[in-house]
Amino acid sequence: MTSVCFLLQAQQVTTYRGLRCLFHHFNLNVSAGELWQVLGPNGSGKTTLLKLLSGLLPLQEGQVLWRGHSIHRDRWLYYRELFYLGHCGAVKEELTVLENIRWVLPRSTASIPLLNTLLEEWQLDHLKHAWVRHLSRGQRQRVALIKLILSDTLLWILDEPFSSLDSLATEKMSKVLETQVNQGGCVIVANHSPLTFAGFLPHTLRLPESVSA
Amino acid sequence: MTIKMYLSAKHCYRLCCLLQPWVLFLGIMAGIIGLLDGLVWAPADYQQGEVYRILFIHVPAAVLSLGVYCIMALAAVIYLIWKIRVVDVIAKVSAPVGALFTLLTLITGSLWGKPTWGTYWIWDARLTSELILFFIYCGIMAIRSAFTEPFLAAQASGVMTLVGLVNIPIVHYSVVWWNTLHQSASILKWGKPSMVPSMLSPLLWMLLAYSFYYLAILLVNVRYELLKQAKNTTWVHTLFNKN
Amino acid sequence: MLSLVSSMVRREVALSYRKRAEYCMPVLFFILVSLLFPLAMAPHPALLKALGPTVLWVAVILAVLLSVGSLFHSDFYDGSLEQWVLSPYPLSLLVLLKGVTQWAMLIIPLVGVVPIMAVFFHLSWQGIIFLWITLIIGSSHLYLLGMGMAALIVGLRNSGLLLALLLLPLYIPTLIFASATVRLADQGLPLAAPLASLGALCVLSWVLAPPVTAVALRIGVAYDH
Repeated sequence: MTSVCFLLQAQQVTTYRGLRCLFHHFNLNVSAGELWQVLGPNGSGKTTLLKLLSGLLPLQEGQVLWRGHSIHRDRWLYYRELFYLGHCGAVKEELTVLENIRWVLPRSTASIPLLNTLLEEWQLDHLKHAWVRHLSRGQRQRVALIKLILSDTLLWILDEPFSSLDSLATEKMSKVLETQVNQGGCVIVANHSPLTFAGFLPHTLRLPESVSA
Repeated sequence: MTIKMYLSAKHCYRLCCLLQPWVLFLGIMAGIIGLLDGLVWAPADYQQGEVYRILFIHVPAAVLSLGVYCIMALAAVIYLIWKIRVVDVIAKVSAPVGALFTLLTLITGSLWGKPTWGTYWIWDARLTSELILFFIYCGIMAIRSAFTEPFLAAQASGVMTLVGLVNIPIVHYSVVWWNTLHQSASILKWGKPSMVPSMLSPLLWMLLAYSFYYLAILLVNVRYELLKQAKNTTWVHTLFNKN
Repeated sequence: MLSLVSSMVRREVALSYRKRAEYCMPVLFFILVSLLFPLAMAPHPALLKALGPTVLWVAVILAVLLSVGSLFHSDFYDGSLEQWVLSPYPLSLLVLLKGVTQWAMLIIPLVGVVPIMAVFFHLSWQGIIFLWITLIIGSSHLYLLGMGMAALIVGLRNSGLLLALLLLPLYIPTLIFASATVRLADQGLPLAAPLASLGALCVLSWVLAPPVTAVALRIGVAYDH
């Protein structure tokens, strides 16, 4: 059933990997101000589900709708409000931190002071002219997260965003997710362990038990 | 029942089982008539003598090497737009047959060239583009086997088929656009065919025989592929439990 | 839009500049392959002059093949390609910008090296001029077509040989027309026919390659690595 208060909907989504059925008639409804956490052991299909919802993987059956429109037919409508953060953070090793944030598909019209504030907050200020190759994995993840925050989009689909982060950065990231939800955005996060937030209770999707609806 | 239900694996399998013996029978009959007509009944050519009879093997193979590619291209378009799996199976199965026909064309043409032109090979437009066609077939088969995921393999080989489609008009019109040693088109052109009926009829019979041969191979392989892809479904299990 | 174009171009130029060693390789490969032929045969000037255009163009094709094979690799493995597929900007445009920038950076050293190779192969000044012209027209066609095929198999490992098998049959018409043009120019004969065919192929690839590459990228990016 389509309802205008659902932003993202997966309807009867079926997909195969080879001859193995990963999702059979899977359904999901996400409305504004919700955070969905996708939990499950390795290989249960968390990344596949996130890629299906973001439109990277084609569907064999069913459809995914954004504001009632199919994401495969009306791509532009969906992609201008989506930010997908994959396993690899989409940071180029041979570019500096600043270049990575400003050159790689400029989406936002973020001002320089805002950028500098964010870099300071995430402790990358002294590294902004350093090549990403010389950064640690945690620092690279932080560069990807700054790009996420600057994108200013409504829907965030994040694949294990807390990987390689230290406890301080993890706390900051949780606050960022809370702010996004409180401002009416939607977040779909895949993670190893359940997340807890101060202000609200996230919806949970456990795989593989909930693979078929 | 919608069109998509008719195109499901189960119905197509049953259709293939029904058609296969008929196609095989008709193909063998057409082949026998064509070979008799071409090798025994048709008169000798005034210029080339008896050698010209290789035409009845060479020309249908050439026509089908292009025809099979066109079928594959059509299947690719249908699959990329409507994602009907049976259509992709047809494309998958047609590629080796098309490659075989192309190779047959090149070899029989080469054997025919020696007595008539004095050389086994010449680098003119028709022969070169037919050779390129052979490599394009090989490329399509290679790219299909390179992907482990069947859905992606289907899409990738579909795109490759459509990119290589540019070569087909080049092969067909090469004798028109360039000065070639190869003879120009006698049948597949505008206007009346420029062959005498006694030589045209065995050619048409052989063409029919080759087409039925292609269809027969298609049906056998499509059946195999459909069973392989649906091996965990109930209809396959009931089919094998019955026997 | 302008900021998109400028940031894409600056990104590609910076990436190539910072990987200078990899950037120089296609040109060096081109020189080495071309030099193999006069070294392998009795270097009579007349023979070299006759074979020169052919050998140079075969070397160009091989250099472009190698260069285009690794075009999308680093983007695929660090996740940038996914961001492109999911960006609100048209994928054909992004792909066209990347392809044209990388092609331009490949062609500049090749064009610079051509007079030296012409000396090795005793080509006349008409041959050199038309070698430049066919190089610019023909290599853009080769590069964009190669980009489309490379996008299709971007996720596969060891895809170098497969790319060669897919691309070389499609490169043969270009090879035929381009080397014919240079040979006719060297001998001072009329060359409108092959040059026009080369131009037609080039226009076709500039128009068709970006959308085909976009479709191919969407297929290629779905492959699991």
